[in-house]
Amino acid sequence: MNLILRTAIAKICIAVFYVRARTLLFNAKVIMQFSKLSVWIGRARAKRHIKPYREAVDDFQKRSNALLSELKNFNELPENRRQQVLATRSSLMEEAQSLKTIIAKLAPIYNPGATAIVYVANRAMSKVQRLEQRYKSLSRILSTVNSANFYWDVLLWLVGGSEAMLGDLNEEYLLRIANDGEPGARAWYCDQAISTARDYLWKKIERLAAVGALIDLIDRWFKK
Amino acid sequence: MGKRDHLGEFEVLVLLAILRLGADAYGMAVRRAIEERTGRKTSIGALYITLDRMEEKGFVTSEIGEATPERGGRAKRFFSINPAGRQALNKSLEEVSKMAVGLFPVSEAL
Repeated sequence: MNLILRTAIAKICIAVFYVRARTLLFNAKVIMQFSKLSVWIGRARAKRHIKPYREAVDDFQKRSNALLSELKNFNELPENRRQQVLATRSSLMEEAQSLKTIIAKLAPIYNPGATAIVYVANRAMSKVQRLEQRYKSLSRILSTVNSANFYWDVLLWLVGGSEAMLGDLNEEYLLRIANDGEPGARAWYCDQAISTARDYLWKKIERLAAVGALIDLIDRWFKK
Repeated sequence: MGKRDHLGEFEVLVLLAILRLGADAYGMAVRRAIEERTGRKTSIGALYITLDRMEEKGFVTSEIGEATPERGGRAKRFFSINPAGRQALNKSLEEVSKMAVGLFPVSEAL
């Protein structure tokens, strides 16, 4: 009976984990679509932003080529034309210098969509890492399905307890068995698990309440 | 220093415990240090919630140690205080000590 119950709890935990993983996968797909859109918008904006500079460079290139062809026959040109060519040459050199400065100073185009996507993608990445840790944590708990603290470990896992925290509890539990005996250690573990679950649940309720208050505020603002 | 940078009473205790423990400041050691010195019963969950919050604020950093068999193969998470955490702790302690000048120990006559 006990083993059946433990197995059932293990199955529930796996189902909870599966739902979380699927949700994350769905979120990742949505982020991917938004990223594609953002890249497309970014490219279009960059093209538009660079267009005048490209035109200026093309124009400069044309005038430089014309000057080069005249410079090839420089000695055959009349004196007044020579003076004009030299003046054009020095003005083109100045223009080249200023074009270089402008191109070097070209700021990266600000794309708010891309900034938002990077932020969301980083958040998703950290969620994936957390999910991976939770998977490890769950598999460790389920591998000791017969342990005395199985139910408490499952409770702590469900409320979001970390691997390090479960390790700390385990370490102290073994110390207490040596000092106070098993019943005392189990009572301590139970007390810690309940108060920890209460604290984590309270934190989640507080967060939900904050979100609720924000939604209420937005709703009232729209009704006005 | 913004409003978010002020420390709560429990946060001050946690930071002081981390300072005392030095390189050996991991969850259960911090909890034990607080319990032994103040006699205050603390759940490991409350401690981790506080530590996570302070890590988000940039007051502490954590790094994962090696897994040990007595912890069921789970690794320890060691905490250390950042300069911002030290600054916030100094400010909080300074405020309390300024307010307590001439009053401690609090006598019945006051």
